[in-house]
Amino acid sequence: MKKTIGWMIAFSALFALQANAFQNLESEKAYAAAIERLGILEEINVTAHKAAQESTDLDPAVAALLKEAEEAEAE
Amino acid sequence: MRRVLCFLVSMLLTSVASADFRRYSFDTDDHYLVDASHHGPWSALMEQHAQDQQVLDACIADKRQCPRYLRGVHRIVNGGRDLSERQQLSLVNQFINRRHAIRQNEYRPRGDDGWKSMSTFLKEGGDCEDFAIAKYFLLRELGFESDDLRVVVVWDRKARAYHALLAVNTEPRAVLLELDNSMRTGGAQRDYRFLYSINEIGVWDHMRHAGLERLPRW
Repeated sequence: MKKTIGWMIAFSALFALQANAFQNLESEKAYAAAIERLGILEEINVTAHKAAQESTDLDPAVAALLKEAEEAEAE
Repeated sequence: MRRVLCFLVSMLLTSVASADFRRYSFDTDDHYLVDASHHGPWSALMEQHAQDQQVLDACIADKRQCPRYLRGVHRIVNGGRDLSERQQLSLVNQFINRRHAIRQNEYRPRGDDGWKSMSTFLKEGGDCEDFAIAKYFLLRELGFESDDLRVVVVWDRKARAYHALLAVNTEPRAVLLELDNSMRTGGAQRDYRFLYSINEIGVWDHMRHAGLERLPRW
């Protein structure tokens, strides 16, 4: 059990250090390339990404105003 | 087997935790760089907006005073005042996004085309930074404070291109208004590397280049 916790701490520290190192990279292009190499992180975050991205379903009040604005412009 | 499992669990935990620092935050006083008047394109934009303001005010007050390109704005501002903050953001985002086909989706850091005021954008269309600026000024008309709005220039890691969009300071966290009508919060913002932001008050350098001249060129 202690060993397991030890490994988890070690890996967490490793990834935290990596994340911190990325923050310090001067070139945003180098940052982009480096992050992309960690493709697995992208995969893990796909679900979170989808959940956080808000629905674009139209609210009825918003839809009505957009329609009115469109009609006003077409007059 | 146990080590592999530990590795995967640790990676998952760390990636979830690290998503937090990649979201846009308005609480970045230490990133403040200079007064916005030092930013050339923004200064020119503010001058143009000041010139447009009289026509805009007259149009919002009286529909008959509206030139064609501002008729929709009259309806959006007068009808949108009673909506909730969330609805107002959605309304402005979708109204501006549907205005024109995007000529050039990518922010051009060389700044060869200038930044357009909302009125100019509504007449001519524009690039992603012009969409963000139009949303900025339309939300200002709806009563949002300049403190709570910033045009943010980012490096889009997926598209591998510069991009500009509007960040809005809402509770509990900042929202990014996208060109596809979505409003990104939290972990959904991790595709972006935030470079710098600007509003009527100042410029914030999120890369900590420590100098206006060292920011990506506009």
